[in-house]
Amino acid sequence: MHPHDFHRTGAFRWSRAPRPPERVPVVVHAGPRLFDLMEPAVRHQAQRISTLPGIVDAVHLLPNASRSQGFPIGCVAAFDAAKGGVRVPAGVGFDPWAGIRLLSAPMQASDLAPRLSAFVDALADRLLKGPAGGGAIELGNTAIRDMLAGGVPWAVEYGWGEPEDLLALEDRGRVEGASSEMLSVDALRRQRAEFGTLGGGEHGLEVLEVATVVDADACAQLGLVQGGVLVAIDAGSRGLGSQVVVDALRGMASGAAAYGLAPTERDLACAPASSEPALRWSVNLAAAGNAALSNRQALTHLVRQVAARFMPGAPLRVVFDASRDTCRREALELEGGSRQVDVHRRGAVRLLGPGNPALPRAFADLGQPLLIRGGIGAWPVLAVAAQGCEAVALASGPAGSGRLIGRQLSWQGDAAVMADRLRSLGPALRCLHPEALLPEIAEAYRSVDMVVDAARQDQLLRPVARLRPLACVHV
Amino acid sequence: MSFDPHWEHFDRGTDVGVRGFGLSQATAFEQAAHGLVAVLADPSGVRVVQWLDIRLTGDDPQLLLADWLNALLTEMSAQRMLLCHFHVTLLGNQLSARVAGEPAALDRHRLRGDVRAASHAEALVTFDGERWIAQAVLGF
Repeated sequence: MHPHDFHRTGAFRWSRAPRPPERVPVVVHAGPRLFDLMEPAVRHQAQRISTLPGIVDAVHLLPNASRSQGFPIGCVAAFDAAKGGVRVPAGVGFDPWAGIRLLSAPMQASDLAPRLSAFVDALADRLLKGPAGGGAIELGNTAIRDMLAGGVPWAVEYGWGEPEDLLALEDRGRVEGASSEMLSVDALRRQRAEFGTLGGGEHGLEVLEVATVVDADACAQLGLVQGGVLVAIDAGSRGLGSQVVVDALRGMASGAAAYGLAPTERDLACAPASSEPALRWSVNLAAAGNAALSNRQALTHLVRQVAARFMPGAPLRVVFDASRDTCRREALELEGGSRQVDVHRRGAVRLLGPGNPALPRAFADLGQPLLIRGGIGAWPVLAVAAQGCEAVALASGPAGSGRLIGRQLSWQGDAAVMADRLRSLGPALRCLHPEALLPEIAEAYRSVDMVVDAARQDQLLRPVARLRPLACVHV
Repeated sequence: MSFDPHWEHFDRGTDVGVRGFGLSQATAFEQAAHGLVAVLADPSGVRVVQWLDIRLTGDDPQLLLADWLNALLTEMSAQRMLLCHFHVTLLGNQLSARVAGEPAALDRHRLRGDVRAASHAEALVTFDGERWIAQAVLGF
């Protein structure tokens, strides 16, 4: 990113004033090193987003900002429907409501150590076996439609969890306004084939140990102890979510001219929030959100079944669940007043600080927890939203550390070095095909600590604990 | 003119670009499909076992290319299979294709990536004076 267009407005913040047809500034939340790591294409993407109708506040690039299609990863933008604001499928990306579910085990890592290998074998058996990497659960047509409308509350009623699980979930595990009525046949076909699966890429499962307690009070509120075992499930809406976005992009791209968008801008295909295509997308997107949330609940159920054989006592407890790649209508304090805006978070999670009334009750005094992961082998950081963070970046924070090396370049890397790196993880790694993981190793991602530090310095979050990966399960 | 149809990948950060090259637009579409499957798995291990027909309509070549690749992704996802053979016919705004592959088998197929969709970003269908190029970016 060329720095000359940007003025440094804080130690960890940069801003670029809009130039017509741009409507709002671009704000980068990063220190100098991260700022330099962001490709020029990321800045250009943000500038193009700033030209979209009804955009408010600024286009925010978070410390994990990296290039993708239409919207960069780590990019947040909000649109005011009352000012002709649009809804933009690229602002969500192809994996709506993907996210991380963190579970806490009633066990110390030292006690699990003798059984760790067998535990991970059992997890891999349960989560990876099956056609094309899973397909662990098959639902009938009625159940699928109920799940898409009902989200996690439906899943719990179906037998995949406990009512207490809902207390730690954003929006109590359900995206409002969902229906399966307007979904395409293809979306439903893909849902049937892929429900209850982890998926590939950055998705996977990690067994973690609370290695360093940074904030003892926050750890206590989250019920975490030094040396305790955690399980992180990173999964999304699978094929249904991707198909929902493909269908929406196709429809909006065809109608781009009607909204003054040139064919070269199809990656930012959008439609006014009150238009039929946008309303249809919103209903379908909510269904995709419920598919993702229910998928993580189903995976939680499967993990609990396995864990019960190795960890006698209470079942794994849900610590929190945070979704990225979302679009929600939210009330934010903007331009001196509260406004309802459609917040698009691509590669970003919603951050609500302590006292925010929209927080799950479990975190009312703490702030929304989030887990910032790097690649495989990196030590994730557990953090919570900082007081007043809603005013910094449209109530948003980074969903991960951000990619450092492109996926395709990772495949071209020195295979022997990469293979050694994967082997160094030893018996703790379970995967179907090591080659698929080459783009996912820690070296392909930015430093978690650097990204967390930038977000902390810019008042987005405060770290709670540093976690040590003990094992991981990936497709 | 001697020219071998082929495909290539290019880096797009989180995502991966694919270009198919051919002496006809249809061949370039076929090559882009081969490039797509090569992101998902090692294509050399996929056999012709099951055949599918795909029909699409589109006046805009760029949108038609994205539709083509997304249709393949949808079928591979919904039918849990990998494809390896593509025969495309383009007549006016009609694309008809006969494609083939086999059910995905985790013990035999070396899976690589989890492509979610072909985006419209940088979609390109053009003739450069010597060959047709069909280009798209695959979202992860």
